[in-house]
This record gives sequence, C-alpha cells and structure tokens, in this order.
Amino acid sequence: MARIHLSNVVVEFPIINASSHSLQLRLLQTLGGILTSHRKTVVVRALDGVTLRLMDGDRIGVIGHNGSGKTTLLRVLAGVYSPVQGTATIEGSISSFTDLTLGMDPESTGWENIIFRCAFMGLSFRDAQRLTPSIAEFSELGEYLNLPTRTYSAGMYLRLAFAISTSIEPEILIMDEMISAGDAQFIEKANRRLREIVDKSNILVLASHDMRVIQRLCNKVVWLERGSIKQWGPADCVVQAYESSAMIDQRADSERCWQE
Amino acid sequence: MAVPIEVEHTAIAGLEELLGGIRCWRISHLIGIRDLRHRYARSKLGQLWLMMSTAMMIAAVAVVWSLLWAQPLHELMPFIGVSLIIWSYLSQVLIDSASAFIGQNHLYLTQRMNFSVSIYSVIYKNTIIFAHNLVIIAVLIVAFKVPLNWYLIQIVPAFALTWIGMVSVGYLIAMTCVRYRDIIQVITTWVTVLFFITPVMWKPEYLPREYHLVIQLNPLAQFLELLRNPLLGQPVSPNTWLTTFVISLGGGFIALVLIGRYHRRIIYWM
Repeated sequence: MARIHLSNVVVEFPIINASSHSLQLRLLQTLGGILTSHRKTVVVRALDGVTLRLMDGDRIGVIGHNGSGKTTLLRVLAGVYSPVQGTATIEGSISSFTDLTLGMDPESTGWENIIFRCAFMGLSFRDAQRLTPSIAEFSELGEYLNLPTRTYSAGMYLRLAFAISTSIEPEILIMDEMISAGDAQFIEKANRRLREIVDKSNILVLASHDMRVIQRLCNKVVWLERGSIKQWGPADCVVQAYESSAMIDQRADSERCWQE
Repeated sequence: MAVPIEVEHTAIAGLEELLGGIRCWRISHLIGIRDLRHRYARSKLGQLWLMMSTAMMIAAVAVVWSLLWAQPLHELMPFIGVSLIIWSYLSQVLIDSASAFIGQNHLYLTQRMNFSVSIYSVIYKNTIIFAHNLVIIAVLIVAFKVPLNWYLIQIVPAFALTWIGMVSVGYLIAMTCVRYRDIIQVITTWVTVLFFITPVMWKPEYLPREYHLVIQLNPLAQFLELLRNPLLGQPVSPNTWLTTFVISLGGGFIALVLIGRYHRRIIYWM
C-alpha cells in the first residue's frame, strides 16, 4: 500500500546571496545602519498551491517547461523539501532514481561500492551482502569488480550504479527523466529490468520532456506551469493539450520574429 | 519551572531528528570512513602518517618548551602530548562541523535524510583518529611512568558528556554555517585563537591566579581538563564537572529546541 497526498503545497526558496549570507550585514542591519534597504530577502515561489492525490496503480507523468517546478515537485514527493504551507503525506518506501551513483566512491572497488550504494538506499549490510551476487551478475563486470571504480569507463560505472539501484523494489518510484545505461545490448536488458520495477511499483512518478516516454509509461499527467498545476488528467488528453500549446507558443515566437 | 508546551514540542521534534540520524548509522559510518580513506588513499603508510606527525609534533614542542621554561621533560612531555591529542580531537570536530551540511548537500537534495547523519559522521571520524592516537598516549604513559589509577574510570562519564556536547554544538554550528557562510571562517579563526588561551601547551598553574578566569570561562579548556586528567591519573575538579555538565545538558536542551524549530528549513538554505 502506497499513498501520496499533497494538499495546497507551497514551496518557497529564499534567494540567499552573498549579502544575506553574511552575518556582518545582518549585524549592521540590527544596529540600524543605512543598509536596511537590503533587508528584504527575495523569495521565489517554486510550487504554488499544488494538490495531488495519488493511489496504488497510479503512473504519473510530470511535464512542463524548464523552471516550471518539476524537479521541486519530485523533491517534495521524495520528502526532501517539506512544504512551507500546506501538507504532504507520503506513505510507502521511496526510491529516487535521480542520482543512481549516490553513495558510491571512486576510490573503492566495485564490490565495496555495491555495499555502499545499498546502504545509502537504506538496506542493512546483511541484505546488501545477500543481493551482491545477483547485482554482480547483472552488471556483467566480472573481474573488474575487484578494481577501484575510478578505473572504470563512464559506461561501466553507470552500469554498476544501475544494477545496484534497480536491485530493490520500491513502492514509490521517482525518476527525473528516463534513466538508461551502457551500450546497445546492455540497454535492452536494462530496459527490461526497469520495466519490471516500474510494473511492480505501486506508484510511479516520472518527470520528462519526452512525450512519447510519458505516453508509454504513464496513465495520468500533471502539467506544471510556474509552479501551479495547469492541467491534471488522463495522459493522452493532457499531453495533447501541452503539445498544441507548445505549438501555439512556437508560432507566436516565429510571427514575432517576422515582425522584427 | 514549567516548560511551555510549544518549547516542549519543538524539543521533541529536535530529539526525533537526532534519533532518526542514529537509525541511519550505516551512512554515518560510511561517510566517516570514506573521509579518512580519501586523505590517505594510495599512500603506503596510510593512517600511520597521522600518528607519526602527531608524535613528532609532541616531541618537538615538549623538548623546546622544557628547555625554554626550564621544566622537567618527564613532567611536561606527557602533559603536552595528551593535551595536544585531545585538543586536536575537540577542535577538529568544531572545524569539521562548520562544513558538515554544506559538504553533503548533494546527498540531502537527492533523498530524504536526517541532517544529524553528517554530525555523527564528523564525530565518528574524529573519534577514530583519536583512538589511533591512544597508542601515543599509551607510549607516553609507559615511557614517563605516569601513574595509572582509579581516576581513569572518570573517562567514561567524561566521554559521555563530551559526545553530548559535540552533537549539540556541532549541529548548531553546522546549521548556522549553512545559513551564514561567514561563520565558517569565524570558527576556524576562533579555534586558532582559543588554542593559545587554552592550557594545551602550558599548565594551568603557570598562569597567575588573577588570570584563571580565562580557563574557567573557556568551555574548550574545561572539556580539555575533563578528558585529560583521567588519562594522566589525576582527578577532575568539581568545578570542571559542573561546567561541562551544564554546557552539555543545558546546551543540549537549547540545541534540541533550535534543531526542532529549524531543521526543516536547512534544506532551503543549501
């Protein structure tokens, strides 16, 4: 059983620059210096009153332009940001595939990294040991696992990270763009494994710019614009609306170009 | 004195944050070990470098000081040795805490994690370094015939108080440093200054009576004495017990309230 309930979630970032980071300025302000005009910290509202109710079986696509709040929304769902206003209730084990290499260390061997990455995903050392053989087999790295991972090629490193990260089956799966790993033949195997995990997860949340991926994997879509939900509904319907609006934007842009 | 309910609630939230971090002890352990390993990655002697540099530092300082002040070396050497090792333990925890959260910001932005994990890893790492240096302390004790006696037992409550103090002060420093980045420099500078007004390289009795306030009001001097005296076979003064007790438990409670109040904001300051 997994359940996500966001109700009127607001996320705001104070823009802390050198001046507001500095204690000296803070002190001057309290002392009543002339710098009081700097007092106001600029706040950016990244999410503005987002309400979502997700249940078992939901496959959610998150779409929108850059800066529309997709990553912020994923981070709220992963429990990284707690809302400034509103509430976020998240029940179920979460795997966030936003950084597959989290916890891995280039100085250590492949074997050690399997244990490290598993521990960062919340497994006990014993469970990590238990999973190690199957992870090693899936990664196809063989003897290379005895070497420090800094000697690996980028592709090999990612293959190992993928093999470890997908070795557990979370209830809630969060992805920022579709992940893939390695060369052509590995990709096929990886995709199969990924599909399995996606199928077994109770809730999938996937943010992507690729509408074909969204339409293939998701049954519902959230369209974010400037931190608010612009549309929320069946995947095909929202994607269509999004694409036609993108087209209109494009046409408007090109018309403007002609006028100038 | 009744504690207002609101304060009590935030203190409990702070306690939950600290306990949540203990549940992730594996991650603290891995981060701590990794920091250590990276410093000596691919060097032949590894951890031994750490001990050798400390040992040489102690030998050099003790010899020069005993000549300068015409003090017997067999008294000064164990004192300076034990003091320096404890000092570097205490001060390094403070310095490392300053960048504890900032250094791990990627971790905290990627998955939900208790911030206390970083503090535990800082204390853990430095405790391992301290444990290595215990070998030097043992050598000093044997070589200079420092009396071993029942006062050594005091080391148990002494460490308990020190760790409570480290967790609360470390967390507060780390939290403040995320918000106000200047504090990192302030901490580093102050630790250097405090080194000279703390009896690390000189014994408290060298200081004229009227200046003893410098030691009594200096929390680091108090914790230094708390850990040092048991190792040198001497009692810890009641005054030191009281000061460190008040700092650790009083400071601990204040820390709980502040942690409970602000720990959810830390991520926004990253």
